[in-house]
Amino acid sequence: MEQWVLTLMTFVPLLGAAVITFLPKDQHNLIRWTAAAFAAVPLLLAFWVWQTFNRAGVGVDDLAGFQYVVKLPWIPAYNIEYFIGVDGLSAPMVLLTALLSFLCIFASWGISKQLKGYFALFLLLETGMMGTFVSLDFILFYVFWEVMLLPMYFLIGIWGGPRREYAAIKFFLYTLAGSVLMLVGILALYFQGGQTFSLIELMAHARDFANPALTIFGMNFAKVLFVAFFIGFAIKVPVWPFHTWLPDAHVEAPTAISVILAGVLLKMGTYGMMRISMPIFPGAMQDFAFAIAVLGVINILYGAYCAMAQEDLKKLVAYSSVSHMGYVMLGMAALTPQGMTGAALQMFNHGTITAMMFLLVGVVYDRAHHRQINGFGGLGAVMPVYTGVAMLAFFASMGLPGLSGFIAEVLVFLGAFQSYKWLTFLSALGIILTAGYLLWMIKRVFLGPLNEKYKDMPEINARELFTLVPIGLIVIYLGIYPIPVMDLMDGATERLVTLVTSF
Amino acid sequence: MDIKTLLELMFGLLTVASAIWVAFTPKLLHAGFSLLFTFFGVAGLYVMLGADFLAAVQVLVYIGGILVLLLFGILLTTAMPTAELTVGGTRRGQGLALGMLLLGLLLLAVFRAGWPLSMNALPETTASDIGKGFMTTWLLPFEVASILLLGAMLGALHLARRAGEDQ
Amino acid sequence: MDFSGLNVAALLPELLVSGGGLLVMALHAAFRGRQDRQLVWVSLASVVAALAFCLNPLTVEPGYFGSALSDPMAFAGRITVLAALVLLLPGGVAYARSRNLPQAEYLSLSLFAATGMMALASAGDLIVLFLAVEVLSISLYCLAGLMGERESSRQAALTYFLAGSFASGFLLFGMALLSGSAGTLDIAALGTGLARVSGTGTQWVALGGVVLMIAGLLFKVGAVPFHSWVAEVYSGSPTVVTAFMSTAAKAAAFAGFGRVLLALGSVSEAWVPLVGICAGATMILGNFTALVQGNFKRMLAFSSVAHAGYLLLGLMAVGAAGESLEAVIFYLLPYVLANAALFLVAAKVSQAGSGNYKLDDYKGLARRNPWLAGLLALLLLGLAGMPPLAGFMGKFMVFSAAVRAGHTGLAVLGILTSVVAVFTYLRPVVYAWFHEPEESGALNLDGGLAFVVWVAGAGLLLLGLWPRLWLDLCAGIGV
Repeated sequence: MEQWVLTLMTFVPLLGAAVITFLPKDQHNLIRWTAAAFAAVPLLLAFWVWQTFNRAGVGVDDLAGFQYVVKLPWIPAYNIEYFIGVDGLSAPMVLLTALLSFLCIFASWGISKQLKGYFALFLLLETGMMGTFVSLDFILFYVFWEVMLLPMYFLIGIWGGPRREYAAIKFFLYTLAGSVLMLVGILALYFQGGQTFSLIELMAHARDFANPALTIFGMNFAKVLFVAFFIGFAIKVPVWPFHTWLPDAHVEAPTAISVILAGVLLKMGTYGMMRISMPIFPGAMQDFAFAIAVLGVINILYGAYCAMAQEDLKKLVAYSSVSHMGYVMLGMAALTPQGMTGAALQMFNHGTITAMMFLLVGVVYDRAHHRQINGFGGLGAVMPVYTGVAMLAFFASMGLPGLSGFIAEVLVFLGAFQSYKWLTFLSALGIILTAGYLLWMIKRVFLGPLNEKYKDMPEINARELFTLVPIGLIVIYLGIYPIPVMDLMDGATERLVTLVTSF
Repeated sequence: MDIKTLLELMFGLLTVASAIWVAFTPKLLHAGFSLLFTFFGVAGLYVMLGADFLAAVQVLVYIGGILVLLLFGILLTTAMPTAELTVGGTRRGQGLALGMLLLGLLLLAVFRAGWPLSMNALPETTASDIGKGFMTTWLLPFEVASILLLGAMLGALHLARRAGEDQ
Repeated sequence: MDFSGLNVAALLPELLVSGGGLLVMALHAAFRGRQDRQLVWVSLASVVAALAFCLNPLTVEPGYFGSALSDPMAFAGRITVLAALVLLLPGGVAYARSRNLPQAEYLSLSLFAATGMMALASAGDLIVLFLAVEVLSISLYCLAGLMGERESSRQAALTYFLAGSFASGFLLFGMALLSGSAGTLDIAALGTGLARVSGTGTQWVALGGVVLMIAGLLFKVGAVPFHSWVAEVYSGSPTVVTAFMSTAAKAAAFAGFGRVLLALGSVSEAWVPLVGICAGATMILGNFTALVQGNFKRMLAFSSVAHAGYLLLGLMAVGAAGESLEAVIFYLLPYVLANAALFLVAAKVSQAGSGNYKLDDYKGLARRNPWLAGLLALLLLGLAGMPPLAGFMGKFMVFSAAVRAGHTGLAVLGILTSVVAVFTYLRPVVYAWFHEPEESGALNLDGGLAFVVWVAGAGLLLLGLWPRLWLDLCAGIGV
């Protein structure tokens, strides 16, 4: 029975979406609490998975290491299966998704327009995200990947800011362009890899794909496909130069959607690289590792540099995501156990920290109805509790020791240093830039003379604290003792590194 | 050149020449009359090929039926007998190009083909074979054709009636 | 005479539908047109009876001495045509009634056209194939002219007639050359017949036949370079007729010609490059032209050109490999469901708005009828091929067939152009959901249209999640 836990986690939100469409539309609180109840189920189950997860299991290319596996035929004519399971790579992501989705329901309490549609789409989005992380069949993965796209598009396009239409379409087309490239790759793999879409079985064909005699469009098969998948995932991360959709989408999206976008959706790019690109094309990964590391460093520096120039608080946080995802890329490309664990941990930690930051931006935006950094000043005096929580988030983002961001960054640097000394030195500049833009922003927003306009700004309320405090506690706890999450992923990341380096 | 080949050539020339006249004369009435020779030429070709029943049908249906109706239509409609038809210059160019392409294709086919001869003796009369064919092997085409005619008739009747009602 | 090969039951669906058409005419005459309101039920009854037979055939032997086949493709094609008819007939009758156009003629011509389409899908020899094409074409010409009250409708009927006659000419000429060189009219035997003459001079005749037939096919399905009639005819014809042309007629044409190309698999090197270029050009041109349309009906017209491109790609890929046409068969049903419903929705929304199918009519539709706007989005995204809707599975099967047959370049082209298509289809969705309405007031659907839209939407979702339903059915009923 217990193997159905992942299925439940994936489809209970969908059921919730269906239930919500049939609720009376003026019963706002009923709709909100229904959404919260349906989002709570995956969260509880995710905790249970986290507790019962067998830390000794390895996963990646070893089916025995996967847990809660369900494998049923779906479209036998094409060997497509309903094949799901979690290993060390996906388990933290599942936990993160469940946690952020639940908290974001509460962060969406202020939504007043077309409530039913909002929460139904939100729960549909959760189904898409969960499904993407647990899928072990390539077509299933692709279907969930696309399923995620549509609710996101509508959530930005209907409930977003003034330029929502532009932002929504840009987001949609960028990601779609990436994912269709993936579809060609999937089909090519299917016919070269023994007519299967099972990721595990495709990994077993890695040697066949790497055969230098195998070509597509006159070029090496594995390399072409690696690049196609890489672009597909890179758009999601987003890797420079594919990042331009991100600031637009973030600025226009409502707070909770920004949280999900930065906290979960960006991780899908790097997750896809770890789950798919690396184990299926280990040889090509070795060939392209340096290039990916360089792109990672560009992300770190370029993102931080852009963040520094922003006037809009939300855009600053958005660019900080570009920068922080660069660490994931760098750690991954190092192909060392520390680097890989660092990357995986950074994915989880960035998910929590950036979620906090977006929620915090949302809090002031709801009160001041603008996000201009220079439009505030001295908020620390008016909203001491808010400022306290904000400091925690910003310091964690800076990578201050004792908070979760630090551990991941240290691991990334340790791992990367073994492979690329100069690049690591260069990327360390990113830490200074990060500290620079965050501290400068803190000075302008929280310190200095009080802006008279906001002297009566109400303090952060209980509901907002409820969304922030659990993440804050996780950030502190993992900063002191990261083992509960690290031991989930250790086996898998090590296996992944061996898989690539020993190829 | 035996008499048979000569006759075949003659019927062929008659068909093509009159068809060209149909296509190029600007006078509608001339075109209608010229069509008579085309149909007749085709009937002659059928006879030469041993398809006597088909030739008779060609004469009866196409000349006796369709063409007569066509001429009636032209003559009874005001302004139609003297109507002149022209085709635009660019369209003429396109048509010529497409026609040449088709002609080339056909000539290529005709001259490259080996045209193997069938050694079966020609049947004395084809009518009974055709009749049997329509009742057995080609029953479905026969039935489908009846639906075709019915549909065409229904549509034509209604279109004509509506045009009358509009006035 | 030996009638043992007759087996009338193989043709029962066609007989039921054409019989329905005759009955409608007879009843119309018998009651002197006073009971025309009831005729739609007679028609639907004959369609449903045919559908029931198709879903549970009493016989699977080919009938009429091999002229009527009973293979999966024949049944799939018939079911697709009949499904389109069920969706479209009530809407068509309502349209005719509201404009005081003849209902009985509309119904019987539609049923005759459907007879032709079904005969085309199950044609076993070239003669039936040609006659079936003519039956469906002539009925559609008449329908296009009959149902219109405007000048554009007459113009569309005439254009359709001229283009169609031209195509028929090509088709017939091609068939003559092909059957002459292969020595048979039996479609399934064409391959072996052609193999016998390969290497001899006669193969040039066969080649000419193949090229002409394919030109005729491209004409009929509205593919590049013979697509120019599509926009005028589709946008000029009354919407219910356009819907019929772009769904059932196209499905039947693809089923019939799929069979021919499949039979010509042995000479695939002669036509694959030709069809490949046309398929690629059709995908590009159809999608990009659809993208710039400001008129919903024209957008749908060009998008159906684009879909013809994907279907051609599928035909080419499986035809050349001599495999089953599963991909094409699967592609057609969701395409037909979505298109039929969308055309009817277009008519409704246009009628309540500008009256000329402007995209602007969709602004704020979500405020006026959220369910309709939601289903509109579902249908459009289904056409666009977004998973988990059925359009995705169709595209997936077509592209995977293409990749397997080695046409990876065309598959990539197809996938890239489908991104363009998504952008096209999103525009009405954006208008419906992200814009404020120009007119206030609810836009309510009548029962018939609501039924069509819900059935099509549910069908797209169901077929997307369980493509086996349709595939197994096709495989199960024909074997």
